[in-house]
Amino acid sequence: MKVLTRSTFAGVGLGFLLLAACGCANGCATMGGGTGAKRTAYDGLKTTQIVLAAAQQLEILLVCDRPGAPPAGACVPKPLHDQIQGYFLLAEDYGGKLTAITRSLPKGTPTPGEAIDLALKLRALAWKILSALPEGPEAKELETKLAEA
Amino acid sequence: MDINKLIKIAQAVGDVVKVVSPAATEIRARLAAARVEVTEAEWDELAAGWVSIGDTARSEIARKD
Repeated sequence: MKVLTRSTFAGVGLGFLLLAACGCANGCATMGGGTGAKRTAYDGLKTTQIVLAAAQQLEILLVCDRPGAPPAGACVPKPLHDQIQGYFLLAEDYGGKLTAITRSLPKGTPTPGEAIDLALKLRALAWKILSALPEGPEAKELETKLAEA
Repeated sequence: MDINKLIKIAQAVGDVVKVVSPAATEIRARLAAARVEVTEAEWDELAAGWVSIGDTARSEIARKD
């Protein structure tokens, strides 16, 4: 398993989720304030969801003792698998709530603190999940996609 | 060609441009708005996607190999 360093996170910059929560890159305070703010938020959430869904399918293929799984050392033991899948349950919770809040915000409404909090949690969780995957080109590709989200 | 015919053709072309140009602007504006606006179907799909991730996780945790 690889470890994502602080510099890995720094390289991401502000990241997609603060952008998504605010709807713009310069700290605007309202979801409806910028042109296409909701679209920006939606696109960030959608990309994150695509990455997480792909990461979940990839992780399932790597569970030890299943047909086609890598050998011991490169595969994911069942206890770790359950732990990682537990992260996906959290992703469902954070992502679902964030989606509902973002969807229901009228134009011009200040972005609620709860949305920003959820966005930060979801972002941190997404990186935690990716860092738990065995190294490989697929995992690397997902990291790149998440950083761009 | 008769100069009068040329003038008539030019006028006809001008009339077409007058009609088409605002329509094209309107179409462009509508396309841009459609891209910015998130549809209800898109929100539904996004919400369903999170549930799907959760369902898969629950299924995997419950799975006994």
